[in-house]
Amino acid sequence: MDEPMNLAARRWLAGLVTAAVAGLVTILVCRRYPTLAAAGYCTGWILLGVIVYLALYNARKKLAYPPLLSSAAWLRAHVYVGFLSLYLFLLHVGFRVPSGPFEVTLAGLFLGTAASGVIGLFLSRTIPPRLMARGAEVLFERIPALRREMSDRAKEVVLETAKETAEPMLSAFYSKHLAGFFSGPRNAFAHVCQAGRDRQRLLVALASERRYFNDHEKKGADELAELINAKDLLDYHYAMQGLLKTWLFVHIPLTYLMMLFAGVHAVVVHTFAGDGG
Amino acid sequence: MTVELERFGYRESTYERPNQKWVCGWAAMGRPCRLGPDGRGRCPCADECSCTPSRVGDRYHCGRTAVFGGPCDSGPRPDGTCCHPEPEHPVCQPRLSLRARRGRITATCASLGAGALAFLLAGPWGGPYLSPGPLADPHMTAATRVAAESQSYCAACHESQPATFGLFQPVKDTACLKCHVAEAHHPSRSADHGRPMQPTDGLAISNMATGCTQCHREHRGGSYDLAHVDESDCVRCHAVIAAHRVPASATANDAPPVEPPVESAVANVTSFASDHPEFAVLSCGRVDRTPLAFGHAKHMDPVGFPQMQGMLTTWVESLQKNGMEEVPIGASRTVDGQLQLDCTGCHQLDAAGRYMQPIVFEEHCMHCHELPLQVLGAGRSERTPHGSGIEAFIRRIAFEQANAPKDPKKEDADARPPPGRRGRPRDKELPQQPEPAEEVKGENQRDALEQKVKEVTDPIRDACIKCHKFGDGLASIVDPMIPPRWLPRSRFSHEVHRFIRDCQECHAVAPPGPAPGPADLAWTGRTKDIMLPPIARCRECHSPDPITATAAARHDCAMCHDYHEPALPFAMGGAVAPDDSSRRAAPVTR
Repeated sequence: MDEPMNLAARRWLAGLVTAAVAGLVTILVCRRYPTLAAAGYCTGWILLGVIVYLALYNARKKLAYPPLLSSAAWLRAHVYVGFLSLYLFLLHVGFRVPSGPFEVTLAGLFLGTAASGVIGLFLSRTIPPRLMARGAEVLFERIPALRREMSDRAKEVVLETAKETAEPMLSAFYSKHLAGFFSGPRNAFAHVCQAGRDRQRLLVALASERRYFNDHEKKGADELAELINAKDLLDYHYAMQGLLKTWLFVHIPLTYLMMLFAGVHAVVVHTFAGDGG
Repeated sequence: MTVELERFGYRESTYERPNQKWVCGWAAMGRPCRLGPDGRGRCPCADECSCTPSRVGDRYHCGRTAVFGGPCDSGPRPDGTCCHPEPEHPVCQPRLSLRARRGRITATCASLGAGALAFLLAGPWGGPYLSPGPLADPHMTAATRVAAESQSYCAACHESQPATFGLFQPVKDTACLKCHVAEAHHPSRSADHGRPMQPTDGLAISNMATGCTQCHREHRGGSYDLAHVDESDCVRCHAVIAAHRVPASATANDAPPVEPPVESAVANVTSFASDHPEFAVLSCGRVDRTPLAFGHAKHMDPVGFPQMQGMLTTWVESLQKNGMEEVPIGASRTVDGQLQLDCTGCHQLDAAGRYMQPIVFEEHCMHCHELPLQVLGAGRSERTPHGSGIEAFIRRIAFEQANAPKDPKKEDADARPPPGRRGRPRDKELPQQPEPAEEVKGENQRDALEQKVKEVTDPIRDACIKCHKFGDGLASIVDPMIPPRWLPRSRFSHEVHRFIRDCQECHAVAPPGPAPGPADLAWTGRTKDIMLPPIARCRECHSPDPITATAAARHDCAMCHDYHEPALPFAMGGAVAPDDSSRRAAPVTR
C-alpha cells in the first residue's frame, strides 16, 4: 500500500498545479485575446464560474450522503482555487483599480471576501496548534456548561471554608476578585493576543492573601487556584475557537453578496458594453 | 492541570450537534437540558414528565424514559398520576445555533444588498451608479448635463429600443457620428464604419476593431484622452496582421465569415521597442534615387573643401556689407576661425515645428551657386531663373538676342568707305546681296535662332549640371523627386526633439550593424545615402527602461501613427528600392 504523501509535498504539488492552471489560463487568454481589455468577457465568465464553484463548498458541507469526495478534500481545493480566483480577478480588471461606483463596490466585495478567506485560512492554520500547545481539548458548544460547573464548584469551595471559619477571608477574596471571573467568559482579547496577565494577577493576589488564611482556607485556596487555571484555559479555548467560527460570519455573507453583484455586473456589461458597431 | 475540562462518555456527556438549527435556551447558562429543542425551535421540557405510569398488578410504575433521567424515585401517585407536575427544567426559549445565525445573517445581507441594488437602479442614481467611470470632459457637454439632469443620463449615447425590452444597448457608431466625422482606417472599411473586416482567425466580431468604442473607451475619467489609443488596441490585429486581412477579391459585404489568412507585406508588430520593423526607407537596401547631386560632406566639411570656405567667406562678407551680423544664422566659426555651415543654414522648421521646410534654391543655394547672367543688349541683363520655366526662358532670351537691334556704331562702321577714300561709298561698292525668297529667309531665321538657343543654353547647362541631371529635351531637368516627408505613414516633431542639440546625432549615415551610436555616424558625400536615423536610434529613448520597466519616452503606436487620417501615399515620400523606378515626381513647390 502506498504511503500517503506528506503535507509539505502535497502543498507544493497543489501550489504548482494552481500556478500551472493560472499560467495556462493566462497563455490561452493572451493568445486568443492579445489585450486584457478584449479578454474581459472571457476572464469574467471564467472568474464567475470559479466563484460559483467556491461557493458550492458551503453546499457540499450540508450534503453529507452523496459521494462527492470528503469535505477535507473540498476544503483543500477551496483554498487553492480561491487563490486562483484572486489572480483571475486581477487579470479580469487588468491590474488596475476600477473607477465606477458599481465596479468599485464589486471589487471591494470580492477583495473583502478574498481577504476574509485568507484571514480564515491563517486562523485555521495557526489556532489549532496554539490550542494543542495549551494541552486540553474541549468542544466549543460545551464550554458554557463547563464554565457553569467551575463556577458552581468555586462557590461550593468558598461556602465549605466559610462554615469552618469565624472570619471568612477566602469568601471575601472570592467576592472581591473571583465572582466576576467565574461568572462568564473573560479576557477574550487578551487570549487572542496570547496575554495571560489577568490569570497571573488573580493567582498573585490569591498567593498574597494566603498568609491570612487558616488551614481550611488554604486548602480551599489551593483548589480555587486550580479552578482559576482551568477557567482561564476554558476562556482561552472559548476565545480562540470563537475566532475560528466568527470569521465565517464575514466570509460567507460577503460571498453571497458578491455573487449577487457579480450577476448584475454580467448583465450590465453585456447590455451596455461591447461592440456597438 | 488537575481539573479535567472534557469528560466523554455515554452518561457523562451528551452528543453535540452544532449543525442543528436550534439549541437549548439554557445552554448559554451552562445548564442545557438533555433533549434540547425540536426541529421547529420548540422546547420539549413541558412534556418532560408527561409520562404515562404503567400499572403492573396493583401498583403504578414510573414510565419516564432514560432521556429524562429514567424512572423517578418518588414514582406515580396511588391514583396513577405523575408526582412531578412541573418539569425539572423550566421551559426555555430555544436559540438559534451559530450556523443558523450565520445563515440568517447571510440571508439578511443578501436581501439588504438586493434591496439596495434595486433601490439604486430604479432611482435616478441608477445611471451614475452603474457607470463604470466618469465621462471624459469633452463629452460632458451641456446636452449631456441636461440629459443627466433629466434622468436619461445613459440615453445620450446608449440607445434603448423596444426590441431589447427597453434596456440600453452598447454605443453604436451612429451615436458617435452624430457629432464626429472620421475616416475609415482600412481601405476595406466603408465610410460609414461598416464591418468589412471578418474574423478570419475565428475571433469574435467584438474583438475586431469594427466600432468606435473598440479603441476609444469612455468612462475612464474626465481627464482621460479619448483620442489616445492604447498600443494593445493596435496590437490586437497587428500582432497577427495576416489573419485579419480580407482577400482582395472579397468585398466588404460578401467576404465569407472565415477565410484562410492572407499573405501580408505588413510585418507583425507587438511593440515598437521590440519587434517593430526597421523604417521602410532604410530597409531592403533602399537608396535615395534622386537625380540631384548633393553631398552633405562637401557642404559641412570646412577643411576638406577649400572652395566651400571661399564661398562661405564671400557670403558672409556680402552680408556684412548689408549690415548683417558677423556670422549669420546658419553658419558658425570653428575654433581655428574657419567658417562652418550649420544644418539650420538650409533646414528650417515649418510653422508647426514638426517637419523641415523644403529647400528653396533662391533662399538656400543661390548665395553661393549663382546662375549665369544673361545679357540682352542695350545694357539689359537678366538672371537665369531656377525652376521649371527655364526652357521658356532660354527660348525667350535667344529670341530677344537674335532680334535685338544692331548697334548703330557697328552699322556705321560697316557702311564706312574703305581706308584711303573719303565720302560715301559708291553704290557699286556696297555688297550686293540678292533678295532671298520668303521660305529661304524663314529657314535662315530658324537656324539662326536655334544657333542662338544653343549659345544661350550651353553656359546654363554647364551651371545646372553641377547639381541637376538633364533629360532629352533642350533644358529638361529631371525632377529631383525630393519627398516632402521621408516617413509618410507616420508623424514626427522636430520641435519636441529640440533637446538634441546636434542634428548629426540622428541625421547621418549609419554604418551597417545593429544600434550604431552617435560616434559611428558621419557625414556622407554620396547622394544615395539616406540620412535618417535607424529605428535603433529612436529606441534608445522610446523604450521601456530595462531596469524600472517604465517608459523613458512614449513608444505606443498612436504616438507616430494616425488611425483615421489618410496617410500620404508611398509615392509621396520615402526611398525606393534600387530596382524600382516607379516613384512619381513629388508635387513639391521649390
